Amino acid sequence: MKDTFQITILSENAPGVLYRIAGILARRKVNIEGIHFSGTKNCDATFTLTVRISKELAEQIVQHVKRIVEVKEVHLT
Amino acid sequence: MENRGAEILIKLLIKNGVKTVFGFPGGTVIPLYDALYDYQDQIHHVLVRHEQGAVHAAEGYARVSGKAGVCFATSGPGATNLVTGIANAMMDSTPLVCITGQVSANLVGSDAFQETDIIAVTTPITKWNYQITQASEIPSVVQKAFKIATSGRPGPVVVEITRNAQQEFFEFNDEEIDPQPHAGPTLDHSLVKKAIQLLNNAQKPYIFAGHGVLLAKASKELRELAEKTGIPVAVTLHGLSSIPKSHPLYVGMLGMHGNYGANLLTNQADVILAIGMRFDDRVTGKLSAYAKQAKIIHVDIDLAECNKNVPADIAINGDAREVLTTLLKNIKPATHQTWIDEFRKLDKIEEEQIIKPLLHSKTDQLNMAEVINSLSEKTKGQAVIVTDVGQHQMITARYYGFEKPNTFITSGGLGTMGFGLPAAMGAKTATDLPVIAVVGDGSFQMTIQELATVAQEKLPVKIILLNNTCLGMVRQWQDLFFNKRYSFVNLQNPDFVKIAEGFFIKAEKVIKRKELDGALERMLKSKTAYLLDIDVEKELNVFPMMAPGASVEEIRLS
Repeated sequence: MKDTFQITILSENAPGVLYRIAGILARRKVNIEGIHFSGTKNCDATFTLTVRISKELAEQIVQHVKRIVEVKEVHLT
Repeated sequence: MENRGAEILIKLLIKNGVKTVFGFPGGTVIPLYDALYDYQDQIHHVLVRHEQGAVHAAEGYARVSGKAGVCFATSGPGATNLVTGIANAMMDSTPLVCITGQVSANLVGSDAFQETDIIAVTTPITKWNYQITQASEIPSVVQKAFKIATSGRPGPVVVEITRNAQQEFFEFNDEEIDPQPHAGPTLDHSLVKKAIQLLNNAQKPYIFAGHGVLLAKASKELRELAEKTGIPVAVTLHGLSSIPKSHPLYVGMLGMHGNYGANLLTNQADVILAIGMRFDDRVTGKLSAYAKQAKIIHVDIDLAECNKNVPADIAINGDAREVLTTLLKNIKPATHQTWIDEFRKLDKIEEEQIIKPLLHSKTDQLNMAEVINSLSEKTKGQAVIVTDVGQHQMITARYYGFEKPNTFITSGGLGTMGFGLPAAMGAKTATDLPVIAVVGDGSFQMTIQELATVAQEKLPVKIILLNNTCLGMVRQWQDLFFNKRYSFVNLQNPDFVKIAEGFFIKAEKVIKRKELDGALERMLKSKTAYLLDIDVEKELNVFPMMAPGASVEEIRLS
């Protein structure tokens, strides 16, 4: 059963971080339906991704995104 | 003082305790190799014949030593040749630091000669990777690489360094670098308390020991916990050797080709303590029929593994040794002999139907199990055994009597054919124990060129080639599930003895049963590398087997 989730990620603001996050979703053929980014050059980045998936998959994705070295926090709403 | 980037990199490797690297030079790493030239007394470089050999050798080294394996490759095809090994290390949690060259920073993105975006290619198969474009980045990145590769759940890291960064000069004070171990997860003692309660009240408790027990160097604590509580212990493929096979509480290997009782009784246990294993599909079979009746305590250093395949009643994020030690302190002593007897009853069935017929075969040809059994007896289960992938791998896992911890090196998660010989090479550089590679004729040919490395390095690696002139495991599946339609599994093999001798390595062919004993003796006694090319029965399938899609209760004996 699919639901709409927002995955909010706080991470280092550096090249390649979005690539790593997107890779985790692409691997599971999850389409990113919305994306919001905020962050300034020397501050952390905040990505909010909107996806439509099952709760189990959302929880698994959160765990895998947490493993990315540059990622500091991940929240699911 | 000012040093070239390449020299700083070499100095940092030495500072991180690196004594051996495996590699193959090329255009974009000539500066690195030039710096290495002055440090040959401090770092030993093993020149391989294919970069895949370098990365698998680094894996073998890492698996045996517990330290990060290091390999070098040039950009482009050199780096892409590492990909299989990097993916292999990722699946099997092996710490690696792979250093690859890259074209100069100003050329990146222009499709320059031997340029490949290896960072993009390896992102899904590494814990971390980074492209160094300036010498000033080298110290922090290399330190971070070693920390990430070896901490928490170990894994491969790729550090790419552009040619200009290798050649730039940079003021480097090596006293500033202080390798520090990464702090692990904080153990939640309340969860450990709950686990102890469950185990204290269990009637049919069961311990699953996986690779994590060996990675945490927790064999002693595992044995002590089992002995205090009388709980039977089964292992996964990578958990083999975490408890001696001769131990009275060892009940077998889990999984598709594991032991009969160990698998069947998974669905009878009331509490399962799973340590450092990830409930891989080869172990669980059909998940909807897996251990539904049991309360599961899942201990792992990687929280992402808990509740991934199997729901955990208690998920403990921690280091296996720390958790086992804590459990040991407060758990009640107990015995469960009636429960253990149930395993032994099923063991007898497996013994009669599968093991005895193989070990006392009267057929014309030898079978794989007999060879491994003899090897096990002659080495007293104390050698380091490295396998390749296929039927021979499963037979070795089943029939070698591992007694010492961390003596079974195999490609589990990825199942990479060609792993065996180079990994054995790497393992031999890290231990004085005898190292024996058991390979199949299909697997052996994938990285056979590394025989040249074995000879050049004078590594006394012993190679047992179980030769059935086919791709055995695939043939087995075609036999059992595809109506014996043997599509492209028959191999016309070369004369392996001639080939080994062509590489200046001693070799012997074994055809008849009576030749085996003498040949094994000569191989084991030899002070130099040795190959035994042993003809084994082709039409033999590995049993027990849990067919794909079957549950642990449907494990077949034939």
